[in-house]
Amino acid sequence: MDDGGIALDVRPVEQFAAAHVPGSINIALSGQFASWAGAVLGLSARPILIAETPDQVNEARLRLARVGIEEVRGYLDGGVAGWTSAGFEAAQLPQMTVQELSRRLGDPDLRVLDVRRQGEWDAAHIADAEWYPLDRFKAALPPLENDGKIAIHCKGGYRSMIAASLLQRAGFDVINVTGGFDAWEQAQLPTTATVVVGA
Amino acid sequence: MYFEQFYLGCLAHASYMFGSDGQAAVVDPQRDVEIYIEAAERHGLQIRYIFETHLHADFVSGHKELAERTGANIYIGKAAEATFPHVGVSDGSEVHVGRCLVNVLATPGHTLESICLLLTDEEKSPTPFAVLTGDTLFIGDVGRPDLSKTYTPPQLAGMMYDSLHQKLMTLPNEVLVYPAHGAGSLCGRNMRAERSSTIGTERLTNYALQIKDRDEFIQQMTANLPARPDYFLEDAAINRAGATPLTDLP
Repeated sequence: MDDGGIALDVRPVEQFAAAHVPGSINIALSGQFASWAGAVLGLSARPILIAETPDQVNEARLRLARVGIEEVRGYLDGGVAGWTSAGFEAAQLPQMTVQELSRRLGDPDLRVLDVRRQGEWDAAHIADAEWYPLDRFKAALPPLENDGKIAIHCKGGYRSMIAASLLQRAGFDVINVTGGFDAWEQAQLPTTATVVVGA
Repeated sequence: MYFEQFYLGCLAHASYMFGSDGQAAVVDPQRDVEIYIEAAERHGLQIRYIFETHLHADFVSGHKELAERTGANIYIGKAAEATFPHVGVSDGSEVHVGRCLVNVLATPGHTLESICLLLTDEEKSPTPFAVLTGDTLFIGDVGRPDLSKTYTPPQLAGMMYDSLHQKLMTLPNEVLVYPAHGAGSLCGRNMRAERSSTIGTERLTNYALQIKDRDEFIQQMTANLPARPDYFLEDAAINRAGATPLTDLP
């Protein structure tokens, strides 16, 4: 892990959140795995795969190859269970419901980061949130001060975990918002849209 | 006649296989080609033709591997300047897949070499029943015009306008539309979740087709484009040369 390699955990977001290898990033097989792996890691990535079963490892290898990521360096034998049984510490990624987020919106040490696409942000977003789409993470992480917690959300909770794991890897104190903006809207919490000033 | 759509949710990618009289064609195959070989076997067909509607930027195609395993020929627009063995097609090219007639429509816009395939089931009717539109026309959207290294988005958008109105929109309303991507793909910005449509439905409901002024179309199509991952250009280059067979990977 010291030579710039990347540990890619392909398990579902809840499992990753509960326990994962510190520094690993999460792109779950359950979503648009190949597209996001390509966009976030790039084709020259040489990931080490972390999964629950050998079948998952093989599935991940195939789906990565479909987008052109061909050099998987290997996989973690025994997955996260193997890691912890060998005596290594697992990391957690805290989760937060939208109700909790709503309650904590005024907190001076909590920022909210929306990682959805521009169109989604423009249509409706949380008024206090900052915006930095996941697509840009490969070029550069969001220019945030590392002072306090960052609650990250997307539409449903898939992309936000990718983003949260990338930021956690870089040393930020992150919280993933479960259910994402969909849950926020379902709970009828207030939103605002980008106002376009007429030309 | 046999016709099947294969849909890969992970990449929002649709590929097709169709044929008759023992012959089959595969359009825009995904990298793992076993599914086509197995389907062909199940239906008693030999894959003789592989069509690439264009050089895909968002996934690695299995065209070269499928050709090597089946002996099929790959048909792709001449303008692709593909370096793998292939048959270069242009506007008006015709290919018979058993008794299914394939007419090639040159439809530059998403890429210079983009083509659409008009299918006629000669056993049933002399009029075409479907058009496979690659990334030119999506359900509810059209392909993005900013993926070329040699043409500007406004140039490609202009070509796209002409391709849509001079070629695709002149087809009868009943012709089924089968694109290469669905909702979730980064190749367009606003696709609907359905897997097929008709020319008539798109004519009435596709926002891009409602724009009747060419300059206005260019303006709208080049504004607010979705993010473009770096790997898009790399995948297109891999597809121009043909990818390593899956089994040869480390």
